[in-house]
Amino acid sequence: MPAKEIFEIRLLPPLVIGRLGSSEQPLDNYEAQVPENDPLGYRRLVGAPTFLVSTKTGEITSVTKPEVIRFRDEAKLIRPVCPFVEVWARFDKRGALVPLTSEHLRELDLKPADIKWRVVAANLKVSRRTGDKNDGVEANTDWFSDHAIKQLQGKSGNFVTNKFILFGSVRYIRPNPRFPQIRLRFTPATGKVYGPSIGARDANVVETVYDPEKGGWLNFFDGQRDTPPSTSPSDIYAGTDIDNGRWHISRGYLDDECSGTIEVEFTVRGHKLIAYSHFTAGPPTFAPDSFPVRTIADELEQIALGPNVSPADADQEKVIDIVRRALETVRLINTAVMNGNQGIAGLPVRAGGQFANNNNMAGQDTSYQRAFTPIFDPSVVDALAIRARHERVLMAVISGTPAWFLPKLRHYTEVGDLTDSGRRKMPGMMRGADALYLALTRRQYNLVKATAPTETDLENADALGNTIARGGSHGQKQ
Amino acid sequence: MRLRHLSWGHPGKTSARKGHTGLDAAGAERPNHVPPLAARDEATYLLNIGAEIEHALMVQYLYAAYSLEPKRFSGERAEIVSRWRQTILEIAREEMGHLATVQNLLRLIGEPLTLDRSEFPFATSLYPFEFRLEPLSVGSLAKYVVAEMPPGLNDPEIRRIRRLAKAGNVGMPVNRVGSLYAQVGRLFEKISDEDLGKDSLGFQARGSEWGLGYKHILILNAGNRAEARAAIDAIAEQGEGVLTAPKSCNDMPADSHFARFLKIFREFPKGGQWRPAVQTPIHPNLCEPGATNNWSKNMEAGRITHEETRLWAQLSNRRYRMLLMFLSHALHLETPLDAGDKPTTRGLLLTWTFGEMYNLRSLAGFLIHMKLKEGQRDSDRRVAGLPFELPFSLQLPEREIDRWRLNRDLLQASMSLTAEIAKISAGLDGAGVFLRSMREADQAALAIALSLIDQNSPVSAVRSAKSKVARGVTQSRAAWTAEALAHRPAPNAPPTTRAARVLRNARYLERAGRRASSGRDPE
Repeated sequence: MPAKEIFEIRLLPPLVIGRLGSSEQPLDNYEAQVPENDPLGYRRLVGAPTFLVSTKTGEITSVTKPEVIRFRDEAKLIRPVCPFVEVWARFDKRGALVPLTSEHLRELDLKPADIKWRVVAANLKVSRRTGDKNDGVEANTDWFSDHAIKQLQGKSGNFVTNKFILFGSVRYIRPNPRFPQIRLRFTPATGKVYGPSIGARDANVVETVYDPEKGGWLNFFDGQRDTPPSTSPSDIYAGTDIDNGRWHISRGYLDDECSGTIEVEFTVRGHKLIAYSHFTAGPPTFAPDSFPVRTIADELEQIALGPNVSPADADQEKVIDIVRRALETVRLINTAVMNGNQGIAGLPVRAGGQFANNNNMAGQDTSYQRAFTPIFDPSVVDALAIRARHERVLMAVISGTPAWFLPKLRHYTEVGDLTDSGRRKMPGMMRGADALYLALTRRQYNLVKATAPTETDLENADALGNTIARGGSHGQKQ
Repeated sequence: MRLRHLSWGHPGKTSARKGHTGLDAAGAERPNHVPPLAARDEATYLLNIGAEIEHALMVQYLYAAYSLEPKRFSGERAEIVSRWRQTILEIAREEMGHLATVQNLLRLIGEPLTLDRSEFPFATSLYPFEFRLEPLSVGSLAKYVVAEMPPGLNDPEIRRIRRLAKAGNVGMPVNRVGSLYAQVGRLFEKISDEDLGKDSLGFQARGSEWGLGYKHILILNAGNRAEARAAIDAIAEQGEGVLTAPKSCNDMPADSHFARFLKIFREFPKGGQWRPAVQTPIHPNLCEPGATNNWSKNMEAGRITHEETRLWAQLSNRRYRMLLMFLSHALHLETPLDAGDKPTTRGLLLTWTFGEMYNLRSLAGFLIHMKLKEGQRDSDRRVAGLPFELPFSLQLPEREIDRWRLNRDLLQASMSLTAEIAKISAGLDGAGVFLRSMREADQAALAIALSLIDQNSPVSAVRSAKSKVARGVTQSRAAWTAEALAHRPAPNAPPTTRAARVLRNARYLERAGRRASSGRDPE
């Protein structure tokens, strides 16, 4: 049935995440699947349908399913992840959202050129730290309807005149009969470092953009007066230590990552329709067959669905996924180093009055006046042993065993518990966003709890036991 | 363990030794060797008994807990059954801590470890009650309550529980575990200072290694007499709740084993209104009929004859043996308290030991859904359970290389059994994936065992590792390399095989080790 009206449009997905890369070839689409015959092994990367976009015309020319996923091109350059956003529409008040196509537009007496896009991107990391709005770097394409590549030129009040940081580009994909859908593609930047020019050329800096006469990012240090509160942990920028490590002096570096919004707008029968989506760019993945135990997806799920999990949503498969990701996380960690074991890597136990091996949570804990001590017993944190431990826990949950280990999971209110038992909870030896210990999201924690409600929640169970002793209702399945 | 020559007095009863009541001044039982031994020797004797008791209690408690399956119920019953199961599992875990502490005390006085225990129903005064694997019932709960009971309690409820316990213990009185530890404590006062080896601490199990941070798991170290007494008191107190006679059973810490079992006893359905435990047998076994000289109806009834179930039960026995051997092996390797730069394979063996505990729990979960008897009808609710049958030997080879050969043999035997089961087992949820996971883990463990055999002994492997840059990771690297070799790809295989990744990870870890202290926060 021809489209007569549009009741709603959306840009989907509502958030897309690109990955930086300097290759001209975007990374192919793939899925990371758990191999059936190797349940404890690495995920297999399996090619998924991938659109090929003509650089010349900006249209999709074909769709392929790659047999092998290659993360670098022939020149060894990293291939960026370049996501699409798509316009979806509801043509019926109660109907489902469906992808908007050029055919729909024709039925509505519109043409692709009637669709308007605007993309705004920014990198505010330096501004957040210095408190100077002019240190914010922003790009704005203004409205456009053509299919040319639109550069995202990040500009700043404290930049050298006419200089900018390229955040990448966006392109309105030209619909064609074979691929008529209305899409926009974001191509992230290459992953380069920009900065001021001081003295001899800095090999890290590809281009001088920052003017230290205008802004104070060069030689900035955390803890200055009249600047916003420092991040926690502080000093997480490239710099140089002075005064025996007391101050960390910025080298004035900026990068080409960004976040922003994509807006789409068009008018149907006198009604203006507007939708927007978010995008961001992250670094390339160097362990694509492993997922962290806590990801942005977990955060988003918690935001979307709330922190609580109903018994109906308690799914052992989800617990298996969390444990599998814990295994994949620990597989990438040198646990002996992260535990704070001394004397490894041929280092003396003490160097210059400090513990030699303190670049880990055991070292971070000293900021909170905790004596430097390894987190776990040093004899049990050999990387292989820890990996084997996680593999065996995964086996147990695969077999259907309820999650007996909930008491060993760090509750989200315990991230600052620096007692021996507090530090030994899971996830172990890892830092969260607040400099203290990493905890699973509330929703993840409650999911594990929901799969084994009384196995683990003795406090509530005791109360229940009293209820039953007084005579409660009983039910037996058999 | 030779069972003769133990005198275990009861109030009002004279021991086998003429003129000796077997009671202490407070009128509590006082186990002794008849005739008396030297203090250190007698302590060894009683600690051996203590180890066997803790091991036997742990296994029986585990069996009782695994007979409870909350999924069979809904609503409040599901929750209370789940809580009972959890409580008993926790107590079993704490018995494991007691067992480890007893081994530490044996270490302190320079005596060998013991992981032995009685197996079949055996009537002896050595144990607090006859060893019996049985589903949780009022009778078994009564025995557990009495076995963990402090001295001096005699109210009507306790008298009733005693009667039930005695009936459930084929008419024998139930002895108290605490009496034995009280006597061990007295004996430690008489052992000379020279016989207490502080240098044994590196061999002792540590709470930080084995306790997983659970505050109730008491794995205590002892380097002197005072620490030994404290450890003995602590494990006795955790069982019974108090060291001196309480006024009543309501006057007890709620987290003692006694109080926790008593709570379950009080909540447990008495009149058969509903049956919390599955129909798992008393003494599931894989014996041939009449295999023991005390073959009973229970043994025959518990004999697993269903072909597929027998294979799973055999696998369970193998994993139980692996658990005991890995545990024994780990406790025979010294780990100094500041062991950060002196890696040994103890941590790995410890992990494997825990892995086998997890495996047994998983296997119990499968077995209680499997038919007990060949030809059993679908309507027949009898199911199997973990047999916990002891292997022919618990002796650990003397030489380290031979210990790894034994580990290799155990892993290989398990792998062939899992392969056999995989051919016929497809009906149980998760069974196939579990078996594949187990095989995968065994394969990785086997590669490590082979690597360590190749290097003649882990000691020399560690010594050579010290000459390299990253000592802390080299051990892993050696093992990972071995694993990679075990998974060596076929010549025409694509480059992204597991073996290549394992090697790559090993190299990464080595580099990370070098960088350990060189830079700032990587962010």
